[in-house]
Amino acid sequence: MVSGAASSGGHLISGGPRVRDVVRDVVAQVAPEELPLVEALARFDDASVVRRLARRGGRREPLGFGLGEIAAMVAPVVWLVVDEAARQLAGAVASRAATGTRTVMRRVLRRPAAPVTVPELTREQLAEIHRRVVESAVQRGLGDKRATAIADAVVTRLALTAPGAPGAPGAPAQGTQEPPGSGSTAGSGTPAQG
Amino acid sequence: MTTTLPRTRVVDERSMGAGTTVRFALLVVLLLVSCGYVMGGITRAFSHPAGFGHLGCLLASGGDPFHGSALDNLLSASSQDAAYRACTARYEPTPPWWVGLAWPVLLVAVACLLFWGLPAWKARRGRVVPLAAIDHDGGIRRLLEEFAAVAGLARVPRVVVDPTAASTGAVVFGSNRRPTVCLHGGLLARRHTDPEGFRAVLLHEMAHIRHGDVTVTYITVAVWHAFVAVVLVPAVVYFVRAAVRISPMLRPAELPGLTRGLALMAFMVVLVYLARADVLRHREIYADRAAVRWGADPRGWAVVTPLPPQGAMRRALAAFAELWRTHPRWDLRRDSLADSAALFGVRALPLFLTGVAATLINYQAQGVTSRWAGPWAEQLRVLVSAGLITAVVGIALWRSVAHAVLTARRVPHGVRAGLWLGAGMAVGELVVDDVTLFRWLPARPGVLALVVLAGVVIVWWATQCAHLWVRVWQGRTIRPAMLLGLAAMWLVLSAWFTWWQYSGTFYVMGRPLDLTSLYESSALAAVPDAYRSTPVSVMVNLRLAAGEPFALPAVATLWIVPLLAWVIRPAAATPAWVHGALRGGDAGTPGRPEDALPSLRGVLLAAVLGGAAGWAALAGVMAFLHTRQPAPGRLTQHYAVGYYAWVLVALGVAAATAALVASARARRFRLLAALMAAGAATATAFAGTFVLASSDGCVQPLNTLVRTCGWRPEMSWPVFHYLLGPALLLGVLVAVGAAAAVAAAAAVVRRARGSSVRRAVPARPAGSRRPGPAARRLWVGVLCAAALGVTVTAMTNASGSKEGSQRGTTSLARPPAGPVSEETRRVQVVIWFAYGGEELVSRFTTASRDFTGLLVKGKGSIEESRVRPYCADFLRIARDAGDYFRVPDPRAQSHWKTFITRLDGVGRTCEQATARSDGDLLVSSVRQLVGAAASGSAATARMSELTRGLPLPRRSG
Repeated sequence: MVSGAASSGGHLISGGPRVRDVVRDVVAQVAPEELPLVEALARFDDASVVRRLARRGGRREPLGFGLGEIAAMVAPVVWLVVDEAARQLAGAVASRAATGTRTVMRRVLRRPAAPVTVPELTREQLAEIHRRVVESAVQRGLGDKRATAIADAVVTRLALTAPGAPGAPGAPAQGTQEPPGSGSTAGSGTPAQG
Repeated sequence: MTTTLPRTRVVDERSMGAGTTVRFALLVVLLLVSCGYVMGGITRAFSHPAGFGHLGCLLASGGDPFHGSALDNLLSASSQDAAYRACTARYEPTPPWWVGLAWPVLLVAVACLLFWGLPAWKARRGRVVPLAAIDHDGGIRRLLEEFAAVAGLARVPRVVVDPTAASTGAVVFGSNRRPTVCLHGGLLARRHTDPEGFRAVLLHEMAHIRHGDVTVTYITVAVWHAFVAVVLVPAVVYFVRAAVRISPMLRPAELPGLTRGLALMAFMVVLVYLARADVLRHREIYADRAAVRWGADPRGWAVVTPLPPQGAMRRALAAFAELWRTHPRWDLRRDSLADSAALFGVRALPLFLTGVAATLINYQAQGVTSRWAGPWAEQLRVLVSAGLITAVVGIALWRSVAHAVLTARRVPHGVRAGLWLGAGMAVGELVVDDVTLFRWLPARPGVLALVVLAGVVIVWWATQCAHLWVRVWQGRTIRPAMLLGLAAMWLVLSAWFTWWQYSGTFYVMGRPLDLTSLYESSALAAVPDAYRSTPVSVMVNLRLAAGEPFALPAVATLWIVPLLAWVIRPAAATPAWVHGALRGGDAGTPGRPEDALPSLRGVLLAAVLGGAAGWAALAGVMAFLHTRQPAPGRLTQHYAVGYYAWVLVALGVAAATAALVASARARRFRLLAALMAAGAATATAFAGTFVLASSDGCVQPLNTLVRTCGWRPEMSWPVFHYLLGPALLLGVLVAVGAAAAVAAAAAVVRRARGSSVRRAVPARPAGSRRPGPAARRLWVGVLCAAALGVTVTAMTNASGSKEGSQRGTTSLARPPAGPVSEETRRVQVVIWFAYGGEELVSRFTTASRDFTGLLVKGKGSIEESRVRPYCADFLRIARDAGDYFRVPDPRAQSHWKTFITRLDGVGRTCEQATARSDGDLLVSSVRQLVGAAASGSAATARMSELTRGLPLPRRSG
């Protein structure tokens, strides 16, 4: 399905951009106030970040401020969707069970896991990611417009690594080339609709 | 003049102790005590070498755990005390003293590990990042320094960030000395868009640190987790395993205890979670209010919450779910920012839980303290548990009363609060074996209502006492008055706990109020008819109760502590503590005008009236008894004892009259007025009736014991001395009853008239009471001196009766006779045989066979030295058989008793024969041996017949 990606220890080590870089670039563009958080998240390995970001709802802890509002943040949406897409597209899901032991061993030995990277994506795959980002962002309390803006930024950033894209992997998503399915390209429609 | 204060007045919650730390301490003590009790019991069960568990010796002694009451079983065991002790030492040994303490020590060790390890685990590298890692410009750090300075913290706490937590909150953990604040990712993301919310959250966390919440909270968490690991899980496994492997023969007696063991564990989970959540909710409001005081914007608490549930069922479910949360509802938190009322209420749940904890701690700790020599350990246990309960309940009551007075609200009467406390104490009795032992319910569950009643009366009294002192107190802070009230409540609660544990529980177990029937059924003594009347029965029970430690001091405290409030000079201006509590707000004399103190003169008049009534009652009694006066020299015990009891009744009449008059006049503080008047009336009547009784014979129609006039104080003093303690106790009971009756009647009348026509009570500030301060102090001094005098006098001989009653319980001649089912009888006999009977029979069989073999081999000539060991052996077996339990079956016991007598005869005859080298005597001993063997065989045959079908080891005797 996706060429140029290989699985090693459950993590993709192809030459595509790292998920964390994609997240950082997108957050820098659409929610710069969350950059310190992305920086903090970057200190953990991808599996830990995804596992803990995926938890919904707050924890009731003694001497906390209380179960208040859940902030609608961009970084968790982007990280979770892009990570999931990267893993699915690389077929890493199938080997996840087998990698459990390795993960434990790695933790015991305190060896950092290789960061997950995003393989090259087709237009259809980018459109699917756009749809998922919008859906997830809306679910997490971000408005429709904001959700679309985030999805556009994600797709724009990922498109830089698409075949024929001029940007090098890991380059900031500041390119001028319009990504497939972006708002300007698809008019009022979303990639999922287009 | 007293002024009515506006209801919007806000009381500073810091003006008096919060009482939350002691609630945490209560939980920790409960967990430690439960650990020692549960795991000590399990350790002991594992150390039983025989297969009948902790019931073996009881059944062997003839006890009936299947149907008999707890009291019957206690009597059964204690009626053969020496045999029972020997049996438990062999088959149910108590582990060494340190085992009981080892488990709590282990619990503490695990808790310490968790306490120190949890912060490290929560702040581990893979979970959070240090603030410095993301706060490159130091902006957040500077804000935290500012907040820490505002909160008065000596240094900025360590701060970490959990970037994966999306909530806009934070949490603090660690300890007071080394707290760590963890900022959630959502909070940081919102820092710029909602700086006020950020400030509110951080100041709230700083408040937790400033209030010292961190250490107590996480100690409780650590102890609870340690309890789950060290006690809860092993205990549940043990109870389930024991229930599955239970012997069918013992199931009916074992199952209730095992079920209660599981119920206790479940109860502990519920109790700890609910109590901890309740205290934490309280601390949250404290932290919220502190944060706002330090400049947090109340809009920081403007959290969008779902609409309140519709429908009664959903509301009830929501309220139930609320109980388990560590944070109050947001609407309550927002309201509490403006009004501290939520921090001053007395709520049902904490009182109920405290009541349960009181019973659990008191009963479970008994297992440890009862093994330490001396009553001091027992009294220390009672004092510690009563102290904890007093601190929790008393502080809550005082805060509630002070708040009501300061805000001119109606002061709660405390009856409902008392009901919850009492209900908790009673329910606690049902999850421990204290009054149930081997049954599902105690023999007389209705007596547990006494526990509820005690809770009501103690809280009612403590509330009125607090109200009285809050009204008159003028010090800089309310704390000294509160300490006095709490100390008094502590003593009263200690007295109650002591009485309940040493007497009350026995009534629940089945002890009759009429002790004569108990004594006779256990063959302790033949009781003369004179002791069978109700007044005498009441006198004996009161006498026993008055002999308990703390009883008489508590009785004196009940009326001295409120009485002392009249010593305080009436306030000319607003008391200093009121200014402090209202933080300089619109201060005035606190309280509602209708809650003015009753006049001391009224109480004194009621006491004089009561004293006169008591004197008249005794005169009436003497006149009545005079008509039945025995002839000179023929004074009967019946007559004399009856006279003593009637003297007590006369003193009770004095207390009742005074209490009724005083409480009816008082309108407010009815219970206190009744207690003061009854106490003073009892002392007055005591003096008056003593004079009357000492001059018996001088007024002919009143001649009772003697017929000639004379002043004979030496004759009446022993009687009056004996009666003083019971009379003081009776005075309190009567006063409580009178005050309750008057209060109930007044409530009915008030309801009938309607609240609109409630009679206005003239506002009379403390300063306008009729007697001047000097006269009032004089009267208070006289009354206090009288109270102390009679109490000390009564206590000088009260201890004698206690020793007497303790002596009596260990010398029962036979177990209480009660019907025992055939099935139980069979089990008793099986265990009797297994626990010692079989061994005795076997020893006898071996000795007889060898002895007769020796004689046969000797062919008429045997050395004395070879015979003598057998003689000694027979004597030893007879002695051991005599020391062992009676056979639980009467017919078998009859044969067994003959066997022992004959065997003893064999030994003696044998010894004489060897001493005299008398062959004929030796032959005679052999004949006796045959007789003994026949009796033994008859006994074992009867036992075999009884136990057919059960696994009785069969050996011929």
